[in-house]
Amino acid sequence: MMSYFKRIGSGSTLRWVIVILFGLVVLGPLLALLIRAGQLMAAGEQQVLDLLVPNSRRITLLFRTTLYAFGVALTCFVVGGFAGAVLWQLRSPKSRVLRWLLLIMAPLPPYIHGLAWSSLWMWINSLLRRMGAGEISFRGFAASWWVESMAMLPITAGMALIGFLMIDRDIIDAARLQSDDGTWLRRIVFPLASPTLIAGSGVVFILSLIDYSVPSLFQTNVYALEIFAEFSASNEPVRSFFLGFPLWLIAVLVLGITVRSFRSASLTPAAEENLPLGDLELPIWIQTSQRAAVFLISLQILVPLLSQIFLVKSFGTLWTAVADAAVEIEVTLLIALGAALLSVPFALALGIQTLRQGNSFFWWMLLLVPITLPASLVGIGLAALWNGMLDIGIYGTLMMPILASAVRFIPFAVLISAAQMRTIRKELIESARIYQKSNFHRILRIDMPLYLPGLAAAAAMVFILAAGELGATLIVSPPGKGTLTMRIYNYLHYGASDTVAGLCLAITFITVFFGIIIVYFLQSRNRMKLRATTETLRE
Amino acid sequence: MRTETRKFYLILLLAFICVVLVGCRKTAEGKNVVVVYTSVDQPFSEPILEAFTAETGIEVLPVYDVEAAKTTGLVNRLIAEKDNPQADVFWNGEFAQTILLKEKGMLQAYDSPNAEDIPAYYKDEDGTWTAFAGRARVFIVNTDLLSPEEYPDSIEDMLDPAYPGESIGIAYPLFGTTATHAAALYIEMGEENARLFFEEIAESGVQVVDGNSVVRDLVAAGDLAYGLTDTDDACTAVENGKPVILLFPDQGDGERGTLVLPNTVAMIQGAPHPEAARTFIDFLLSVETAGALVESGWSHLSLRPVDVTPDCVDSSQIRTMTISLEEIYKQFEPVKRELTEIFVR
Repeated sequence: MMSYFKRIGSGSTLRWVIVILFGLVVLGPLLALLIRAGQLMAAGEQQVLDLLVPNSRRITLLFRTTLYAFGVALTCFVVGGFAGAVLWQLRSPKSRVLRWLLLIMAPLPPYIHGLAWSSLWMWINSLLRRMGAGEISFRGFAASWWVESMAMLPITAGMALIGFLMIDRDIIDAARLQSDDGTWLRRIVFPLASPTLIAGSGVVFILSLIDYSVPSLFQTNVYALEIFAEFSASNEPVRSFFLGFPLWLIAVLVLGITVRSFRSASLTPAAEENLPLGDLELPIWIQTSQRAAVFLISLQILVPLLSQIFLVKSFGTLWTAVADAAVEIEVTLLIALGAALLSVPFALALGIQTLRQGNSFFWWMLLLVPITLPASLVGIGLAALWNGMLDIGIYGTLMMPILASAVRFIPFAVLISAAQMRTIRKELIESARIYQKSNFHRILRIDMPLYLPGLAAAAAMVFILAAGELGATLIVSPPGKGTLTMRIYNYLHYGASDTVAGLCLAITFITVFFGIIIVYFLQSRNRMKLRATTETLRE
Repeated sequence: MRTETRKFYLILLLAFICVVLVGCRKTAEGKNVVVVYTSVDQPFSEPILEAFTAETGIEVLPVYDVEAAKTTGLVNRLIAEKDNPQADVFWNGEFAQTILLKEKGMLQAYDSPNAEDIPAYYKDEDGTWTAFAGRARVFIVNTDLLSPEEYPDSIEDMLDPAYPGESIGIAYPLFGTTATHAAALYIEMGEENARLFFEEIAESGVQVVDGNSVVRDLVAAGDLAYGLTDTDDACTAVENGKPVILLFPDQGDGERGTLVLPNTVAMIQGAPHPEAARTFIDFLLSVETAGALVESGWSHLSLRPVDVTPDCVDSSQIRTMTISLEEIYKQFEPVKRELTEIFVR
């Protein structure tokens, strides 16, 4: 018995238990759908397998959808790369902290971005009509591509910034001696940062591939709409799952290619120093591209924010909207908090395992495949699992939407946690193993405090994403416990644009607040170093 | 252990306890409650639910649908919960999904005494659902862009060369009331003619948009000259002072009339709170509630006489399509599949 607890205390057994739990929790909905598919076929409905092979119309649709997602990912790659470079080059300590806040719009649902840009275009067209200048159409492929790119831009900009921050300063200093700023930036820094940027673009590709909310708003037909149409026609999620299989295969294929970049990034030694670069003399084309990228990032924040502020009209309207939504705000915060807490042990255990498994293709696929599943299928899978196959009494409670968000966002928490763990000196852990009286004490007193900043940042990210989640939550939220996002979409349909704007501002403030927490914790090591350096200088 | 770390563990523990205590409690257990799943827009349904609670003391735990889920979310949730139902009552803003639930054996019969004066045409013969509080399909027309002589009269006017296709809007006929209207047109026009009609709509450049509310917003903003939507969406624009007018299509002598979409209410088989469910259904089917729904702007064609008249439209003498609701429902799935082939490409 004692040897059993010693094994648990050694950490690896507990870690593997959590890994298995991850498989059950996060992949459970997918398994439930597969079991349901098996039941359907056992009942004689083998014709559902025909949906796995698309007809010519669906092949064309699939091709166009893939092209659309590729266009969005490429745009985000280019613009995000230049924007990340600008953010990396910031010099003052304050701006280097605040640069992360340029990414605050990342968790805002793409549909809200779509509505903001639609409102802006309607206003522009009304001006043009008054001037007798006709109007400019904002619909179709181009409009969808633009809005989706705006919504996804913070992902690649953030990943680019992380990529640049990971580069060893010695390499840059050596390169600066050998060539001009434009050359070393282009030929050394960008290639070194590219794995994380490619990884971010891969995520953007997948999210754009499975999104239908923005394309349908701008009358662009995509394969995801076909899946929903099937859902609506048959009310049989397995049919939609099989119909969506080709799309899912493409997403998994791209994930497989992108995983190489995640692995490459995970194997790159973390940069110790993050000192400013000083003045750079860059070629005009790089300067122009960077300025254009910053302009686009600014638009990406200002258009949704200002349209919400403009539509809300007064503080009284904002207050009324928020006061009327008190129950939904409370429920949203509880769900987000629950999902964030649930993500902590997974982020810890899987973060460590990710560092150990850094080179394993299978591990990375297992970790990231859940992000390829459409939200509504996650919800249906969860309902099938916890209200049928495993009825342990949590269906009908807030644990269901908490699980829904956890299933969708734990992979992101693991990535953040693993990225932060890479910056911790292994020697500290090794020394602690020698001097602590047991593994349990070592974990509690040494490991956890070192991992704390990454875990807190990961939990805060899950909190933000869970606060805006809709597709899966809609299926599993308990009666009487709707979320803020559900209320927003309900009032959106009703046309209460001022109420909707007020509620969107509420979500934005929640995002900004917890974004600041993420930045605070991610910068905590730098602050500790600064404090230690200051104290040393004083002595 | 450092103070910061101790504080973190304490906060973590408190948060965990809070979430477990609140999160693991079933919201509908051990209380005087009724669980209502409704696809009716929250701004319209919420006041009715609150009025019910005020009158009876029974708390309503609602689950609302959202248009972003294209009406699939709520019904699929009900189906997923079939073996362990959470809902007591399903209040649907139209009828097709209610009939679907009946076909799946998910509804139980209840004849409300408050439904006696509702015509038999609007009640299920087995007593599993009752229709009430109608809406209708209408044209919403921008009065700044079209003069009265140019107003459309008929569904077929959407193919009239006098109106550029890009100036007309409909919602995707794959979801919601637009899909229901399409199914009704397939019956009324005949399959062949309806298919040709929708193929021409798709080819003519008519703007096929994300929902009835989007049609409303685009017409109200002047981006479209007119579009097809529901009375509640159109009336919202009128009440907000937009330069629009509602018109019922096909109202001439011998013409098909417009489709009326009644709300439906049904009790779920195995409802956890059956008595409260019956009380709620009685309340919903009362004349007073019918009047309240007209007054709120959700319903514009009451299925029985009420003292309230809708503000934004005169619906007293409208011509309606006379197709049975079950017949429309039977066309639903094949029509949706065919329209998917036409519109999603």
